[in-house]
This record gives sequence, C-alpha cells and structure tokens, in this order.
Amino acid sequence: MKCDIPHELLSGYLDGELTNEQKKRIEEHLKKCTRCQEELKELRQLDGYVRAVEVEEPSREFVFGLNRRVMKAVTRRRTSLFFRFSPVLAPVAVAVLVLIILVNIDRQAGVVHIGHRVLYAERFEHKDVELEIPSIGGARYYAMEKGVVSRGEEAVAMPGVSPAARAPEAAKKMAEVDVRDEAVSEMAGEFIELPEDKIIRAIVDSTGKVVKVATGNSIVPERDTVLENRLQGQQLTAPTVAGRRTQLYVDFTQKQEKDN
Amino acid sequence: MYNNTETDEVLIERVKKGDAEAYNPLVERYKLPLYTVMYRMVRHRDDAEDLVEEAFIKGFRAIQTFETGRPFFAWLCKIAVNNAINFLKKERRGKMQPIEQVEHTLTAKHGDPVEMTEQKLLQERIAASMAQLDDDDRTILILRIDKEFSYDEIANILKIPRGTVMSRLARARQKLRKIFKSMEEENQ
Repeated sequence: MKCDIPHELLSGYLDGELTNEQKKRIEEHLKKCTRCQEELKELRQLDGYVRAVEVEEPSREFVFGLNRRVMKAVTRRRTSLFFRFSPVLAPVAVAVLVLIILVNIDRQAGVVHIGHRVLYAERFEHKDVELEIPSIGGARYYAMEKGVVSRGEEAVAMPGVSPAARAPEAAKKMAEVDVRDEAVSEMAGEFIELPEDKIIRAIVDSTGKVVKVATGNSIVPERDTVLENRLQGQQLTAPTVAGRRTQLYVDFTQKQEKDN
Repeated sequence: MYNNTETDEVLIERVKKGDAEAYNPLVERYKLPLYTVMYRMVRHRDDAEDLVEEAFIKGFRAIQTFETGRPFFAWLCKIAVNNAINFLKKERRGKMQPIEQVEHTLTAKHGDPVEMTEQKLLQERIAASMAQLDDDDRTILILRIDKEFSYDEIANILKIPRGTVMSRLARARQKLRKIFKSMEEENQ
C-alpha cells in the first residue's frame, strides 16, 4: 500500500497539534498502514528517551552562588568597559569639543556661537551707534556697539532698506551698552523701570527682531518678561546670518543724556 | 531589592533602563529550568552550570534586543541552546562520563548495575544524537520535547510561521531518528 501521509502530520499528531480533520485523517490511515504505525511508535519512543535523559542535581555552588556570580559579572563589565575605553574616549571628547568650537567660530566678528549663547572676543574698538526703536513712544536710545559698524551707520533695519545693502559685519555685531544714570525710561507714554547697573541682553532672530530679553550681569541672565513684552518683535538690528539668533548687549540710554 | 513577585516584563524593563539589580530575580527564577535544558544537551553538570551562567550573562548583555511581550524564558533558552551547540562543537566529545564512572554512580544509586548501565548508554546515545543535529533542529526539539512549548509558542519564540514549526519539527525528528538508529547499529 502506498503511504501518502507526510511526516509532519505524524509529528503533529504526536504533539496533539493537528486540526480535528487532520487528526481524523491520520487515525484512519494508521488503522491501515503498519509502516506509519511503526514510525509513530519510534517517534514516541524517541521523545520519551529525550525526556528521560537523567538530569544530575546541580552543585551547591550553582544553586547558592550563581546569582552572585552573574550579578558580579554584569556589573563589573559595565565598569571595566568604561575604564577600558577611557584612555581613548578622553582625547576623542577633547577633540570633539575643539571641533565644535572651531566650527562655530565666526572669524569675522571673533564670536563663538554655542547654541544661543554668545561668547565674544574684544577685538573691535568701541563705537557709538544710535539705535532707534520706533515703537517706543518716540524715545531714542543709544547703543555702544562693539563691532565693525562705522559711525553713523544705522544698525537698525529700517523699512525700505534692503538687507543686502547693509554691511554683513553689522548683522553680526555685538552691541554692549551700560545702563546709565536714570533707571527709568519712558516707553509709549508709560514708565518702565530699567534695571540699574545691569546689562540688558536681547536675543534677536535672523531678521534682526527681538525675540527674548534678559537682564543681569551673570553668564546666565534673568529673563525680563516686562521688557521682553515691550521689545518683542521690534527691529533691533539688521538681518543677521540666515537662521542664526544673535545675542546683543543693549544700552537703552536716552539720547538726550547721551547728547549731554 | 526586588522580590520574586515582579513579572518578567517589569523586571526586564527595569534592566533595560539600567537597573542591573532587577536582573537578579530573573536569574533566580530561571536558573534551574535552564540548567535542566543545558544538562540534557551537554550531559555534564559542571559544563551545564557554566553554560547557564554564560547564558545569563549573554542574556543581560543582549537584553536591549529582547522584545517586550515575548516569553523571556524561551528567549533565554534560545541563547543558551545556541551557546551549548557551539560548546559541543568545540568540545566534540561532549564530555561524556567514562563508562566506569557511570557504572559506579549507578551502582551506588540503584539496583542492577547492568540494566542501569544499559539505560544510561541509551541516554548517552540520545544525547549524542541530539548533539549531531544542526542548531535549528536541536533548538526546536529542545523547545518542544523538553520544555513542551506549543507550536504557537515556538512560532512566537523563533519568529517563524506555525506551519514551519510543524515541518521543521517533523524534519528534526526524522533526523534524530536516523542518527539514533545508526548509532544503535554501530553499537550492536
């Protein structure tokens, strides 16, 4: 008799993993096929042999010491990896840091941009440039600017003036101003108290408009929301390098005082 | 400190997040079941213990590749079984106990040393036959026959369709049967 039952059905039958239909088919076949009966018997026997392979009791050291050994190995590996690679990683980290600074350095302005924070080198002479902020109630302010902007050149982007017409250095300038004398400035008919003896910093976006204002002499100045609300959106400088924000140090000293 | 009531999933997630201590209960939970599998494969206590230890360490190192929701023991079994296969390939001899030692052990444990030695030899042949199977066949047989995982579970563990489990298992059984028969003939 020709046997057309595949081995996998016999194996599946042995494991009880067949559908009812398959199971019925196998059982019908087994009634007639001695070869399959024999094979099934051998497979069952083999399974039994595999299961019956005696398992020797594990050692006491294994039962009570395995956890400690495994945990020691996995924690030690973490530590040793760090120390193993530290001689390589340390110089690599330094090199990466140097690279970051070199990539971010603005050669013309001598300025290093790291994120939004600006570190600057004092390589330019101080020049007074008038900054005008149109929306602040007619009050006029001055900025003492560090930069290559020549005297008389406006650092403020005025309507109708093409950004391309401006010196690119002007867009990258660092304006630093001391808050002087009176700490009160008239802005749009209201009096805004300017912080005394504190540097006012403004972050302008690539279009030259103010996006954030902070006061304070520390590296991380305090955000001044009152001033920020007043100045936000004001055109403070000419458009800067595309996509880059610039931090400016601004003096809102009144013109009259300056003139005096 | 972790107790033994945390689920595998919770513990594994903690290990993945860097809490190595959460691995300890997993070791405690699965060391003996894994030892059984390893012992059935290599038939030598010290080697099985070493393989279990190695499997746990490898498992820890590969824990980020473990997919949450899958059975951890099956995943660990796969690592351990592959490990054991490599070990046997290197060792070749499988460190079978010398027959004198087998006889001595059996005499001490049971009654008739002749009968027990025959059983032992039978088991040795099965273990040796298993050792000759390829990785896939051995893994699937261990998972099915030794640990009695269902076809669906095996399919899930090995990431293969259920139908493939069925055909691969049948093929592995046929190979084992063939190898075992040839060994029996050699010994007669």
